[in-house]
Order: sequence, then structure tokens, then C-alpha cells
Amino acid sequence: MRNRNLLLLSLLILAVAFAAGCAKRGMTKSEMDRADEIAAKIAKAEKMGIVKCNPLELAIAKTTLDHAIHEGKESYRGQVEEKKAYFDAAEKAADDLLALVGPCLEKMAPPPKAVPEQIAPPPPAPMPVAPAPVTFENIHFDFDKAFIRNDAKPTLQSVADYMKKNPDAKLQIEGHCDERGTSEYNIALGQRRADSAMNYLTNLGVAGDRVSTITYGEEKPADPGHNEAAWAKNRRGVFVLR
Amino acid sequence: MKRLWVLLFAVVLSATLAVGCARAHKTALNNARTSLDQAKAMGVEKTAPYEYYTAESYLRIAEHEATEEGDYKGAKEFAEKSQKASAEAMKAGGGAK
Repeated sequence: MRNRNLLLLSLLILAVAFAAGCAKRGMTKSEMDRADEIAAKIAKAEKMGIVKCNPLELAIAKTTLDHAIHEGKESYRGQVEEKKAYFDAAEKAADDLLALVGPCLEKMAPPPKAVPEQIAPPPPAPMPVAPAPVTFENIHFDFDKAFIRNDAKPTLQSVADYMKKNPDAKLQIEGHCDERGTSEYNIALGQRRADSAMNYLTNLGVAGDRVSTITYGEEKPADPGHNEAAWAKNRRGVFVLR
Repeated sequence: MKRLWVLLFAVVLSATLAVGCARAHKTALNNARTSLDQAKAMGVEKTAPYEYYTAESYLRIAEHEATEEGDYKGAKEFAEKSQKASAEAMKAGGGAK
């Protein structure tokens, strides 16, 4: 009886050992293919210089894939779901990395073409928000008048929008006239025109202390001609950012 | 009686091996943590970020293997990779003082 029990126990141990030995470990063909695909995605992102912009995401993608491969090799082939979860995580990390390539390329200056191994220059520093060299269209006035014409309103609106978006910007409005009339009269008319434009801007919400005016009368014509076409051009308001 | 001694020897041997394995992964994990702390203290997170984050990520995986999976061999393997990455980070970004 005792010998029989011992025999049974031995058989049981042998069976368990045999089953454990037969259960195959390692990656299946499809898992290996998947690992290759993920590695290719990471390599593509790396080739495009992602390490300069997103070193953390690159490190996570690579190590997560390494982990998935480890699990793929160490787990039994039957543990499909467990292994899949690791490969899913690796694929997600690689996809996230690839999604960052576009913004990264935009940030980076293009590397020099002649020297492939040369390190690409660092991304350019962001431009300061200070007012850019912006120019505005001139506005024009009727003969001997200083009121704002309808065709000038869109220009004034764009000036006002700019001033609101750039709170540090300062503006000077120049008032100009055509050559007709006395110099003294035109100096006064130019001032009225500049003041008229300034009032319009303040009504649009631009703070008056950011805008100054100056009159040049007839002294600075835009067109030196002596005809109506030239005069129409010279009766103007000019916006200068300071 | 002889059989009992053989059995006892086998048990002791197994226990010794098991303890040895457990200590090996713990030592590797401690070494990896020390290296990463050292790298961080040198400021390589800024100067060699890729290497630093690689070390950090491998260490996290090693800890996961040890605590969640009970895979001490894997834990040791990833801890060693972490330590290597920390060393590379310190080498690459070692200029930082």
C-alpha cells in the first residue's frame, strides 16, 4: 500500500514537471512582428530628431517596448492577454511619440544639409511679443475737411485692434494736407485731421495716453504732383508705431 | 537515515539559492536607485535628459517586476539597465556642476 502511494506521488510529480517543461515560453511570430512595428515607429521618430524636443517621451517609448519584449519572452505562450497589455502600452507610447514629431520639427531650425552627422542647431528662441514692424494704410480726407470718411473706418478699426492686442505699443498720428491754402491754415487743418483720427481710435477703446498727434500741414506731401489726384493722396492721416 | 540527510541538504541548498537570488535583485535595485540619485544631484536631468529619463523609466520597470510580478530575474535585469543609463547620463551631462 505504501509503495503504491509513493508510486502515485512520483507519477504526479513527473506529470507536473512534464507539463511545466512542455509549456512553451517566448514570443509568437505575431508578437515579434508587432514588436518590430513598434520599434520601427520609435526609430522613425528618433531619426527625425525627437530626442531634442521630447527626451522623456522617447525614453518611455523605448523602455516600455523593452519591457513588453521581456514579458513576451518570459511569459508562457498561453498568457496572451497579459502579453497583449504590455504590447498595447508600448504601441501607445510609440504612437504618442510619433504624434510629437510634427510640432518638434516646427520648433527646430532645419539642420544643415551638407553635413548629415552634424548636430542640428537648437530650436530658435521664441520671438518677443513686442510690437512687430507693422505698417498701416493711410486714411484720406475730403478737401478742407477733417471728418473720418467711411473708407477710412476699416483701417482705423485694424489700428485699434492692433493697439488692443499690443498693450505696450504707442502710436503717433500724422495729419497732412494738400498744398492749397496757407501754410498756417494747413498746419491747423492737419492737426484737426490727426485729432479726428485719434478721437475715433479712443472711441474704439484705445487709451488716449498711448496715442499722440502731430501735424505736418502741407510740408510732407506723399505725391509731389499739382493735380487733384496728387492732392487727394496728400490729404491724409499716417499711423506710425513708436 | 541517509535519505533524510540528502533531503535536508536539498532543502538547505534550495533555500540558499532562493535567498541568494532575492538578495541579488535587491542589491541591483539599490545600486540603480543610488546611481539615479547621484545623476539627479549632478543636474543631468537638464544636461542629458534622454539618458536620465531612460534610467528613471528602467528603474520603475525593475520595481514593478520585483513587487508586482515577482520576477526577480527581470527586476535585476532592468535595474542593471537603469544603472547603466544613469552612468551614461552622468558621462554625457557631467559638465553640470
